[in-house]
Parts: sequence; structure tokens; C-alpha cells
Amino acid sequence: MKNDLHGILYTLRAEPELRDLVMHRNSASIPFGGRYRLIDFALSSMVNAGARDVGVIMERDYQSLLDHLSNGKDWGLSRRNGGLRLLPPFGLPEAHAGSFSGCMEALLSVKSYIEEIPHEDIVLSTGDYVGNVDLSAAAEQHRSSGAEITAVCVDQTASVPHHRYLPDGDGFSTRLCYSDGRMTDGLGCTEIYILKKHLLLSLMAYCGDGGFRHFHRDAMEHYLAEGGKVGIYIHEGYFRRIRTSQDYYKASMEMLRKDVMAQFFPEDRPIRTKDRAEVSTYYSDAAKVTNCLVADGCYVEGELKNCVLFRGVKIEKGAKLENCVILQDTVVQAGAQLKCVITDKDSVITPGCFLAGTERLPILVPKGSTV
Amino acid sequence: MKKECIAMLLAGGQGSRLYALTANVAKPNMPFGGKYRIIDFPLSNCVNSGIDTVGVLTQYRPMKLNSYVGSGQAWDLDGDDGGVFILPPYMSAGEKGNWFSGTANAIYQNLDFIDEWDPEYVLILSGDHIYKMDYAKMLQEHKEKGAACTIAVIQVSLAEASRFGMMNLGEDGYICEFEEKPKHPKSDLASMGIYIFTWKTLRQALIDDDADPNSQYDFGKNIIPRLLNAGEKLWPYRFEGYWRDVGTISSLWDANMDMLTPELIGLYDPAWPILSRSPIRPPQVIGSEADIKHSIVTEGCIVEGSVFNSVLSNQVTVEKGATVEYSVLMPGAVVEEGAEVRFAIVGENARVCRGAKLGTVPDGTEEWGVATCGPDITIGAGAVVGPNAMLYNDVEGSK
Repeated sequence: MKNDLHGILYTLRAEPELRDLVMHRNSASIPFGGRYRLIDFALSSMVNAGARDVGVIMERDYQSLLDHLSNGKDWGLSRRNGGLRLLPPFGLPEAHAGSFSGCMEALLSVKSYIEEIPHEDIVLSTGDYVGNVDLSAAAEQHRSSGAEITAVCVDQTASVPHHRYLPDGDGFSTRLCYSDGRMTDGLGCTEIYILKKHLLLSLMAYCGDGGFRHFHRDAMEHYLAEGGKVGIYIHEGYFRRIRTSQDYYKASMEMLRKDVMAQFFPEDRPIRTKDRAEVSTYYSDAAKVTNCLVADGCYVEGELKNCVLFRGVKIEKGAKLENCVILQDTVVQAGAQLKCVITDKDSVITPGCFLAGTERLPILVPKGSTV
Repeated sequence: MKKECIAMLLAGGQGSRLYALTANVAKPNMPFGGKYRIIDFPLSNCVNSGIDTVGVLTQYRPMKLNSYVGSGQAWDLDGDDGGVFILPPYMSAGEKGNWFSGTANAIYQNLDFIDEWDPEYVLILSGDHIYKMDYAKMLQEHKEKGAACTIAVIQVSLAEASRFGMMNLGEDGYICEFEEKPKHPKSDLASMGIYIFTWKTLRQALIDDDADPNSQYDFGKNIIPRLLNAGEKLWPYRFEGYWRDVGTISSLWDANMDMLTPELIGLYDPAWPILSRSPIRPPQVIGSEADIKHSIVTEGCIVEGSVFNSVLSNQVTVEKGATVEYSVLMPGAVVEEGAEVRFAIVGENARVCRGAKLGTVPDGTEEWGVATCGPDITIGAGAVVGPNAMLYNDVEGSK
């Protein structure tokens, strides 16, 4: 079935509040939920809505992202015509260091790519959120409402710190405001938009001429000031931007809730990710596991309560973990005790170690470290 | 394109001794060990051994097997010069097509396919064994011994020997006699059904065998004796390690239980990975009242009950208050609240409803056996299905 939707994902520089989680990667490739990377959520949403072509704009530290996305085959995007297109940050004619100061600047750097898009509608999305957005329904509304641009919004405050649209009551909004995180007026903008290609190009032309670099502050303000209106599509389900290590920890723990899991993984909209050939997870006689999310390839001999385990994790006998997020290939050795700890990839927690963070301030063990 | 060695995987058998489990699917497509299907083992062995061209001979109920193998991408067998090829029986001009009438006939009907690759050697594999083997080492020995055929053999106890094709060796160490399921075995070396042939020799033997109206067109019964009679050199390649035939309910159940001791076959050994094609599913969810001991569990599972000494394939659900013990649950199986499954095999997408019971612990009697529930079968609420059962149809609930 032909679908007139083209995806553009930006995976821009990570927020410093993500601390060691982004030491070796940008936020789009942060591992999440046992077997995923953040970008899987945005990418799967696009694919599930029928987008067969997706461009991914990259900035800084994108090696792990390249490794994860490869040729896009795990998302069905390894294709002869179109498919996944990786867009490194060196496309601007003037020399720059491979980084952008705003989304508009990132879009301008891939102008020729955007100009060649054969589709009428473009989905623009950040790559640093978790949730399962029904972009198919959003596109449907976008088309039937006759909007030139539709913003995907959520009726939540905590998860969306920045931009909010004040709805006009007719399904559109003409007012954009900036929140400090406490503000509850209007609807939070997820920074996912569906818009006409010609509109995107004209906003890019305006910003390019004026030397403007920001999508909301410059392009959207201009569009609204000129009498434009933004269609509002409300995403009802779970949605979190991951911008700080607290966001990360909180969302990881929320995955353990049944109602949240159901919103993440509806039968008809799977979240796709890179396939790693793994064995099933083994639980030994000594294992005691309750309320956990566990990926394949783990070897569990210890006690786990309220934990998220990624692929290839080993929990040795006598180890006790509570409220922890244990990333790929971590080994927690015999007798270690962890509470409210995030261990990044390939960490080793040696025997007898005792680490305890708090819900508000979890301990973060950086990638590859031995504690 | 010229290849030194290609593999031919015999995957056409029904596996009739698995009864309800293979009523609608070919045996090589049988889920195994949580993450896998039986065919993953020979295919992965091929790739790990450096064999990049594999013909898969299908005949019985091949649809699901074909779609599982697909382009071969999951095993890195989707290359330009080689890859995996599904080979069903086919029609030729001017004659009626024939089903494969035996293992040797299946290869005979695909002479053209093999000739395309112009190989020096052909590896013959079957799709019903669980093992890890480096075929490159076997090929090396085949060459060193100047054999026309090398047969992988494994030491078995004399008590078991009457279940296998046994190899008797001459003083020079070469095979001098082959006995199919002997009553009084003379050796303890059983054929593993894995052969490497020098293609030129095999090609001629297949053509000669096809002309013999009394032949059963079978490797063990006809081709091997034919080569022995012709004075060809047959060498036994001794294999040491884990190897199981999973052709019966009890051997399938046993081999699954073996996977609970992962060191046995070395499932977690990254140097020789067994690759499989996984569906897209979220990680496994272990509920707050779950109790899992000595078991393997796979992606997409939801476990809220008790699971002991069991193997759970992907997307299995064990609800609150349910108990699963010493059992094999295939993909999509559901054990509802309060149901009990003991010493049983539950087929794909089968459902054991609330409070139902399937199987029992061994009671020491001759009649006891593992209970088997075929795929897509529903065992109604409160129903009791005893040991040794073989369910082809739904069982009505008791309330």
C-alpha cells in the first residue's frame, strides 16, 4: 500500500544532565527498556505508520547510533528504493564542527535531501523520547483536518518541559508558549510534527535567509505570526522525553508497571530494534525474581526485585538487586548488593560491593567500569 | 560458481513419532530450547564451519519451514554467491513429478542443483538433531583419510546401540560394515546421520542406486552398503560432545530438559553461536508474584505464576497461581490462572484454561509418560488430562 509519508528524525547533541549515559553516545542511542535504544521508539512509530523512507540527522558521538541502525534492516528500512538514509552533520557548505545549535540548523544542513523527498507529508521527530505514538492516526487527522502542519501533543506537564500550544477549541492552535516545567496551561508539544513538504521548505528558506537556527523560537513563531495555525493531535498514551538521568531512571522504573507496558507494546504497533542473536534467559535454582523486565541472554542466579535487565547480563549467586537498571553485558558478582543503581554497558560489580542510591538520585556506574 | 563443499539438509520428513506436534508442520520447524527451532542447529553449524551454500530439501508440510528460513538472513546465509535454497520436489518436462522416495532419492532429484556449484564434497545433514559440530574439522579428516565417504559417529552404550545404525570398523580403522538397528551390536559407534561424500563418487552411486528397482533409496540402507561393496574407503569421524536425536516425544522432552544445564551443549558459548530468527517481542515480564527456578525463559513471555525446571519459548504466558513444572512450553502457549502443567509438552499457541491439569509427576508405572498437547489446542477450564496423553483435539472443560 502506498503511503505518502516521509520520516525525518533528528538525533541531536545529548543534554548534559544525562551525565555518563551520554559519555560515549548521543541520547538517541541510549539503551532503554531491556532491549531497545531510545531511537527505536521514534523510528518504529514512523515505520508502523507506513513510512518507508526515513532520514536520520546525526550530530556528535554518533558511532554507537551507526552501529545500532546499520542499514536499517531490523526496521524493514533496508531497501533498494529509499529506506533508511543516515545524514551525518557535515552537509553545510560553510565549515562547522559537526554540531548544530538548533533543529532548524540541522534541517538546513540536509536541505538538498529534503528537496528531493517525493512525498507530500513529512514527519519530523526527535529521537529522544520513549512511548508508542500512533503516527498513523496523527497523519489521518492531519489530512482530514486540512492542516498544513500538525503537532503531536500530550496533556501532561512533567514529561514535556519546553513548548506548549494553547488550543483554540477548533482542533487548531495559534499560540505557542514556553514553559519552565511547572506550567500547566495548554498542551505539551512532543516535538513531533507532521507537515507539508512545501511548508517545511518555505520555513527553511525564511530561517536560512535570516540566519535563524531554531525550529520553535524562529520558524514556528514566524509561521504563527503570519497567521498560520497548527493542528493539534493529542497522544493519549505514555510519553516521556529523556533529558536527564532522573528522567531515564524514572521512565525505566515506570516500564515495570503493567498499564505502562500495555501502552508501550500494543499488538499492532511493535517496537522494532536491532536483533542480537541471544539465547533464552536462564534462571537457576537460587534465583528469586519478582516484578522485573528481563531481556534474553541473561544468566540469573541472584535475587532481583523491580529491576530492568538488558541482554547478556549475569547476576551471580547471592547478589541482591532492588530498583536497578542493568545495561547490556553487565556482570554483578556474588554477594554484591545494589539498590537504585544504573550500571552502563559492560560494567563489573565485584563481590561484596554495596551500592545504594535513592529514587531521586540513582547511582550511575559508567560504561565499562569495574566497581 | 565453484564451491569446495556445499551442504544438503534433509528437512522433508514428517517426524511421525512426534504425532500431534508435527501434524501440521515439518519436524525441523519444531521449536526447541526456548529460542530456537531444530533447523537452527544444523544451519548455524554450517555457517560457523564456513559452509555458505545450503540446500534445504523440503517435502512434508513445508509452508512454515519455508517462511521461517526465508532469505536465510538470520544465519547470514543471504549472500550473493551462495546462501540457503529451499528445494521442494518438482516436475520436469515430459514426465510426472515425483515425491522424494527416500533420503538418497531426495539428493538424486537435486543432482542439477549440486552440479551448479561443482563441489568437490557434499555434506549431508538431517534436520532432527541437536548438537554443535565443526564440519570443517570433519572435512579435513575426510581429505586426510582419502575417503569416499566420512560418517560422523558417536559412542553409545551397547544397550542403546540397537536404536541406531552402527558402524563396525576394520583393523585399519576404516568402516567395514554398517548395521541398521542391530539386535546384537558388534561395536559402540553409532552413525549420527551426518555424511561427507566426495561428490564424484556419491553422484555415480546415486545414479546407480536410482536404477535399482529394489532399492529403498536411502543413505543408510542403500548408499553406504553400495559404497562398502564397491570397496570404497569409508572413514568414521569420531564426535565427542553433546548430540541428541529428537525424533520422539520423550527424546524431545529430554533434550529440552538438557538445555536447563546450559554447559552441556554450551549454549552461552559466543564462539559457536546458534542463530535463530526471532519475532519482534518486548523483553520478558516477570510479575510480582512470580517464582522461577531452574528454567529458561524467552522474549515476549509474561510469567506471573510458578515455573520450575521448564523451558519457555517466546510469548508464553503463565498466569497468576498457575504452576508449570518439568515442561516444555512452545511459542504462544498460555497457562491460565490456577492451571497446572507437569511433565508435559505444550504445542504452539495451545491454551490450558483456568484450573485445568495436564500431565503428572512420574508414578513409576510402565504406562506413565510425558503428556503432549498439540498446537492450537485448548484444554478447557478444570479439565484433567493425565500422563502420556497425546492431544490432537480440544478438551472440553469440566465446568
